[in-house]
Amino acid sequence: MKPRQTIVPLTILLLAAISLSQTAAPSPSLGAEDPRVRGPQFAKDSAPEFAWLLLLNLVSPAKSGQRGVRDPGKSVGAEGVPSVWETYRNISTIYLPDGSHPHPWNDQKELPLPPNSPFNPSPAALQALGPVDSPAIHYLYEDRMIDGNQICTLDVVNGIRKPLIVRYDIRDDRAAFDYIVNSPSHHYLYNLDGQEEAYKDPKFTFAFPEDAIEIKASWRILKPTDDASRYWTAYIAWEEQGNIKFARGGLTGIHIISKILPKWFWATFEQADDAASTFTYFGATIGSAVGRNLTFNNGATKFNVEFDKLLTGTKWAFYQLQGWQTDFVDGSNQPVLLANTQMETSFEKTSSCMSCHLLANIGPLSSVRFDLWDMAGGNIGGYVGNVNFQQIAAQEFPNVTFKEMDYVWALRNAKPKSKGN
Amino acid sequence: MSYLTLPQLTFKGNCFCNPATANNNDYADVFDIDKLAINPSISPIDGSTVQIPDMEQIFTYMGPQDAAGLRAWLMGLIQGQNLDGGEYGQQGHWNYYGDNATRFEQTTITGYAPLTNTDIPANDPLLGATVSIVGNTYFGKPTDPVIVDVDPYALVTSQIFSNGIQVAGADGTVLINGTGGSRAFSYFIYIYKNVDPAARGFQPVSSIFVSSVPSAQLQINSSGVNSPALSDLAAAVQAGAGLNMRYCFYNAIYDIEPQDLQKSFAQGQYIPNPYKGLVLGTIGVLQPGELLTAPLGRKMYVQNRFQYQLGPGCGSAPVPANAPERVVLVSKGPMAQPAPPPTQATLGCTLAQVDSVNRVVWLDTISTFPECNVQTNQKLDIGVMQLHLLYGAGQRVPIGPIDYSQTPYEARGGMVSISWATNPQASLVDQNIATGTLSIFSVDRNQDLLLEIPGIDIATDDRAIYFQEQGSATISIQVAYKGQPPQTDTPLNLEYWMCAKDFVNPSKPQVAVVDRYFTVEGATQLPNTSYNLGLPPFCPPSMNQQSVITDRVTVPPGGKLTLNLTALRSGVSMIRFVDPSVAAVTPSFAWDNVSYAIVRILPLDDFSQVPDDQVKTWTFMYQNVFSYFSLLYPIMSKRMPWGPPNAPDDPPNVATFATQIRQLTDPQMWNSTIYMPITRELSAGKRALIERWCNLVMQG
Repeated sequence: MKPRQTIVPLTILLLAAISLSQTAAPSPSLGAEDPRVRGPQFAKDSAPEFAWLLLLNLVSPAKSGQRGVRDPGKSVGAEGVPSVWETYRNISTIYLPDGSHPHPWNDQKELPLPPNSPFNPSPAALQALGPVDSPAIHYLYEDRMIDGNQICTLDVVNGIRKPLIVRYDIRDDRAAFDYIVNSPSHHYLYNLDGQEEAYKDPKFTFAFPEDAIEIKASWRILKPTDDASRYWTAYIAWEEQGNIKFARGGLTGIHIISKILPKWFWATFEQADDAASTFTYFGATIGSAVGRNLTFNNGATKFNVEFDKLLTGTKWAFYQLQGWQTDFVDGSNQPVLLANTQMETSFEKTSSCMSCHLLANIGPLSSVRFDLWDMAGGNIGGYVGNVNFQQIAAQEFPNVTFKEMDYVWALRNAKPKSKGN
Repeated sequence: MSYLTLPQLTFKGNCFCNPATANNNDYADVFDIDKLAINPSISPIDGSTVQIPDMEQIFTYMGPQDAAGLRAWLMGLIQGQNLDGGEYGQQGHWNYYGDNATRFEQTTITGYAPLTNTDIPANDPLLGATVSIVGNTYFGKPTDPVIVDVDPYALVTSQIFSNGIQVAGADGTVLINGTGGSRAFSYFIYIYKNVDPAARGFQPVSSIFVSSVPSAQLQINSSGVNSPALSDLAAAVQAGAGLNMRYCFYNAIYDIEPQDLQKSFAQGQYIPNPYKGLVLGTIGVLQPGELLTAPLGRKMYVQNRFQYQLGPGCGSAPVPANAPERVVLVSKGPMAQPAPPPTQATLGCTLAQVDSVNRVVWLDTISTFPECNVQTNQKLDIGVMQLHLLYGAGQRVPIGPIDYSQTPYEARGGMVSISWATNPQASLVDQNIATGTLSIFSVDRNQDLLLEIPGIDIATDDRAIYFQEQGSATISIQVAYKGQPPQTDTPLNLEYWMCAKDFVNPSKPQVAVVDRYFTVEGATQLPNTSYNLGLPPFCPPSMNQQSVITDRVTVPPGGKLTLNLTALRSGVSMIRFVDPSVAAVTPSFAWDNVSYAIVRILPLDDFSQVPDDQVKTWTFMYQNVFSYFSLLYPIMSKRMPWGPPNAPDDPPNVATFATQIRQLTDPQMWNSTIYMPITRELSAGKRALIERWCNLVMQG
């Protein structure tokens, strides 16, 4: 699917914003532009603007019943309508537990429940969770970050603080989905068997198409009585001790990656209150607030002010770009650090999305995929800066061949194909 | 060389040490150190009664299903005589929840003695700068160095893992950054460091540690800072091979009494009880070819007991008139109760460096002369002390006086320079200094209190080695005679000792190995060497007589030899290096007058035949790996909630840390302060099992 051919200069958008009253909804043209049409150089040279325009495009309302398609007649922030990105496929519906072929792209199933399951929520049950902006249900299959740690928000009852765990979902757009599921190379990458065949094929290289997008989102629980005025809200569901639980969710963070660049374009946004409202949680103990993003790029400030102004009156005005990454190092050859306090809380100082994701790998069946973490000098942290895949592979597993998986760690969620599939 | 000569940075401050103690078998025979297994029947120290839990005198441990009960038992209370400063102690001893963190606190540079004639102004940025030993980083966050006993039963096998040192100015500017570097091993445990009758805990004793950072891992920010001292140091390091640091931990005590700690545990407050004390040290320049961790210089280890009296200012608390006689011993716990002061002591082991060109002897008196007041750290007045040189047939010449008073001791980190340049008998000293015997002489007593060793000195950086059953390892040693390598073949005896393994007590003596733990290639067995150890009365009399397995090796000219060890069975023991050309020296209780290395052989655990389906189950991993660590080092359960049921217990949560567990237990992390297990007692077989489990979990 090619990006839309609409380019709206930022100045026009700003003028449009000035003419708007405080309470008027943004124009439906806001978010109409997919900045990818301007080409990869725009992403490289105007990264923060590209990031914001991409976000606007992705948080635009989606057409009813059509995954990944923007509804040109509705405004960003329109209530009662899911955002485009929310209609992307949850990877839990791509990498199925039995390794079977995923349902077609537009299949609306989200929860790991059979259609006639009594655990499917009734409309009344969902309504009782509180008003939401988006009617989408997000199945959050991850309850912790990649380092195993958790964060939470607080539920204070009778003066006692209880943790409400922050959870995550990852979603792929049509282009990424098709690459994994309907690859023209016929290496089906949605299960381990297909990936291993791809590994063994000397002619095959993992290479997502340039219009692929992947999103990772973090959600907090908002009780019916909680103030949700500053959060994009939707229903969230998760599994707990064999049962599916539901709640109203507030979006606290969103990673966006786009294959517009060969090494992907990486950007991350956080909700404005995250620093003080989310807390570390370990060993059944609530820790300290996560604090401000240590990798915040000051160059984002100007754009945050401008775009939040454009989004006045919508929930998206409370989200801010934290940073972006288009290369491993900056112009001074210093490692580019990028993290989200909701997703890389304990290792922000050693977080480079690109450096870590470069190491997405697959090896022979009998080997494991090598690790995320850099252990040089007896320290442990994320890889940052320039990273040599083959060198690291050789260090961890000498004499074993690994293939790069085009920066997509999510592929390791694939399971073996069950017999009969 | 090294810190024994100029330039010398002196630093002073506080030390913090938080070792876990359940594995010490001090007040209960909790585990078997050779098999690394919890004992099936666990009893408290002789003469004590278990008060909590509920008069459960003996704990029967059948397996991990009893882990919750054992944990509760270890956090209980026992009553007896001479327990932790009173009549109570804990089965897990004074710090069940220690995390082994070790660091300097509020430690600053108090002086700099330059190599050249540089004037060092009082406001030099290096003076007053903060000195730290640093740990590795865990996801960008600094961790503390860790102190680990090679033999947790023993008093004399501590080592500190760190990731180097850092010196930072008052404004936070990093002046010296040394990354990596060596371990530091405890030496010269001095049991008379403070003879205050009120001294408790570790207050009577001290230990020194030596470590180095080679030049390649060192950054000295002399160009960025206007500091003549730093420039002088940088120039010296340029001509040398790095930095060498020696420090002494002393006058240390922990805060929480056993009854109070037991109450905290009972209330669900699982708190640590670290000991805190003083640190005094010196940083100097490492020279090429010098060992990184072994004390250098000429060794003064021959200790003669002397009489003393406590004078004005000594003693920090009144001693009851009817207090029992104090038994001087090395104890990991406080003394039972104050007692009349002992009247005899020895000086602590001392190092000397002779500079014949400038006619100076540098003495390292960091733990030579006792203090006598734990509040003021006042030095015990033992009269006029001189450095003498003995030579020829019973002849001697005084080299110069030794000022051991408190102010210069603290200001100079125990370093004393004694010049004989203006000595009327300077030429006599010149002629004999290289071959004579140094002595610290008490003028008042007309007695040599501390003498240079008569024979060879044996040193090694392989102070503590770990390997596997059926495996092999090496220990490289250097031999010197009065600081010079021998030019002929030199016979060397190897004696095999171990900490008494069946004796539950905070102060276990070293006794002879009965069945070898390893062999040394090329060593020739000799008749056993017999010793009468003269142990304190709390040790069984049968321990006094020791017949020690003894081998002989030959050190080639040049003084360097590598010993090749082959494991026979798992366990921990020591090799004592002995010069057979001199009369046998009985090791002191604290082994401060002994050259030795510690050898730890881990069991051969083989789980390779266990199928994946079984390995992947939590029950299997808990029973075979995690349960042991959760019991002996419960602090780990706070980080990895692997139980037992009455501790943080969340197996799925532990599984999500599989990738980190695999990395933290990776052998390449072994020297890191974040390596797991902290105690370094993970066998290769169990490590391979953990790796398999982690891989299976990660694969889903």
